[in-house]
Amino acid sequence: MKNVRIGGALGFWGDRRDAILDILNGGPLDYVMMDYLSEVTLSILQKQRLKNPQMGYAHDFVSTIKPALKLIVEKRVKLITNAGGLNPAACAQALMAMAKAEGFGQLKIGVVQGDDLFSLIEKKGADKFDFFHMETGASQNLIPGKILSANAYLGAFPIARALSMGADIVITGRVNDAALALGPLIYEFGWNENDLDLLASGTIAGHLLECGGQATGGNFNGGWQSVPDLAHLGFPIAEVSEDGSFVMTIHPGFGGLVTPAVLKEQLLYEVGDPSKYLVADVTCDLTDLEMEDLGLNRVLIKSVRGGPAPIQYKVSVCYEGGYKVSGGLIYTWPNCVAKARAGGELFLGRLKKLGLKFKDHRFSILGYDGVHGLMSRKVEDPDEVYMRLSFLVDDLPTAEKIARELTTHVLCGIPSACSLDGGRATPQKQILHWPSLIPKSMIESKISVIDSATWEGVTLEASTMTTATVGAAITEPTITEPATNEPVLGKPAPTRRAVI
Amino acid sequence: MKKVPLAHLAHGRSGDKGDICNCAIFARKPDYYKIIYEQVTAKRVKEHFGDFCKGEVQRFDLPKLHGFNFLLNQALDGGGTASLRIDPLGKTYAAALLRLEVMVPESFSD
Repeated sequence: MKNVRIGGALGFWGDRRDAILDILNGGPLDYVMMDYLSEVTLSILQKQRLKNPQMGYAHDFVSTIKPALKLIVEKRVKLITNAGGLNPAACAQALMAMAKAEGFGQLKIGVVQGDDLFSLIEKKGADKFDFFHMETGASQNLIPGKILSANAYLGAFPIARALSMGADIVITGRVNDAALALGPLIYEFGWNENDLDLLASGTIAGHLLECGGQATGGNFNGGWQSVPDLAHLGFPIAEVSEDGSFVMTIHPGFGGLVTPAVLKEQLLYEVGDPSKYLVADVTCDLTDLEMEDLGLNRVLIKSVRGGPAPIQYKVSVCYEGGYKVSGGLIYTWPNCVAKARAGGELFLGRLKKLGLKFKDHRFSILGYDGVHGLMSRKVEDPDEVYMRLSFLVDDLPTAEKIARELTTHVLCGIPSACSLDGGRATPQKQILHWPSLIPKSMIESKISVIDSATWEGVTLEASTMTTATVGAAITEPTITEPATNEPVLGKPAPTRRAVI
Repeated sequence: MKKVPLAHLAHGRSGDKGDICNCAIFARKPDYYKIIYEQVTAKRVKEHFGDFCKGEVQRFDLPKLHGFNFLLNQALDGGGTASLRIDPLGKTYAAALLRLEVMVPESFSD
């Protein structure tokens, strides 16, 4: 029986950059996926794009891939990534420019677009939408700051389409993380939108790959002492069969551990109801899932069940908040907890004297109860604690004044204190996340391929294709809204909830 | 009977979705599933997290995997970038849950 080997070489933008080389060098592979996007990453990228229209993607993606491109081409491993962020076309162009400069003559890069709703909002006006809050049900009108970005989580079919158009590398914007694995499986096995059990199996394979080392012994709470050689951690590989069952493993010779216990922790990571794990293409049911330990870092996974796809895409809206500023001091024995508390009170007194107003604050005494609060098993008189003072303010000048005030407490404050690493606190602009939903009919995916043979560094001309023609999850079901010419976007049956 | 931390019977991982924290825990041995099933109820978990969790706690059971998924609603001080907590993504909340004490037979040894 045919099987497809997919590796997961990046769990987030900031993960190990050498993992892509290790996983390509370490053994055979058909595909490799790299997941760059978290919920607020896109709004960070939005700020970069506003400054420069050629930006808006994970800018270090190209330099990460540069040393790996020879392996990708020679071993004919296809790369699927959401590094495109808000600007997949520019990302693809930058990658192609690098590839040409490095002398790679035959390369096709697929681009998946259509997730970016920001221009739609700008065109139609924000009042034409109601991105109600998925968790609270609150109306978009209650979003308390300026909207910075809005992206739908597309599914896997556009990726499969890009592969069928000959792409060696596929660059997307916002898609379900797991779609980066499901796309290749749809393409390889010819799965369609009605193959729900198979789509669910492929989604769970992708879910286990999307966080990289968390599936191979990284961050393993069930016995971290037993995980060998985390410095050379093997990143996860799914060997997926045509029937949807798959084996999770690592290349031989690497560190890490692949056992049912390790995989179970990742299986439910950031999952809600395990019988209704929703992605764009299918509803996954994990309640019958079976794991069989085959030994030697190989675990067989089967019996993932699939149900109908949700009728909406999840949407991630990001908006501007205030400023966060955090800093603090280390206080030492004796009575360091009392000193830390006195330091906190003193600080509030100073802000009052200086007339500095804040919206919210939190004091956390690390080494005592700073992380787990009342759940902590408090030590009577610890040797040392770090008192972290964190404030939320409306404006940058106030945030900077609070940061400035934090430094004065070494000389003017409570004794036996020192600063941590000597740095002054830097105010951080807050970007907030507002999860919502949008009817699938409002979204059109665009899939295009640039070919190194014809590419001249010009603007990408996309061949447009809707998800419907790609056979995506557009079964166009019962949208509860009356059909109008100008529907209010994102207002579906209120009880639907997408967890991605 | 004696009291031991849940960590002796289970392991797990936690993560975030907005202001919801999910804590998935798994019995270290199949026999422990029943003890956890009976004692680590949504109500107890809600009490355990105290003022950290402002909303309800839901428990989903996975008997075939000997696991439980707890959803702690409004548990991350607004979640992600909104939160002023040290751990706004709830990465360490599974560890916090595993502090919960459970009753086991005197003969229990992990």
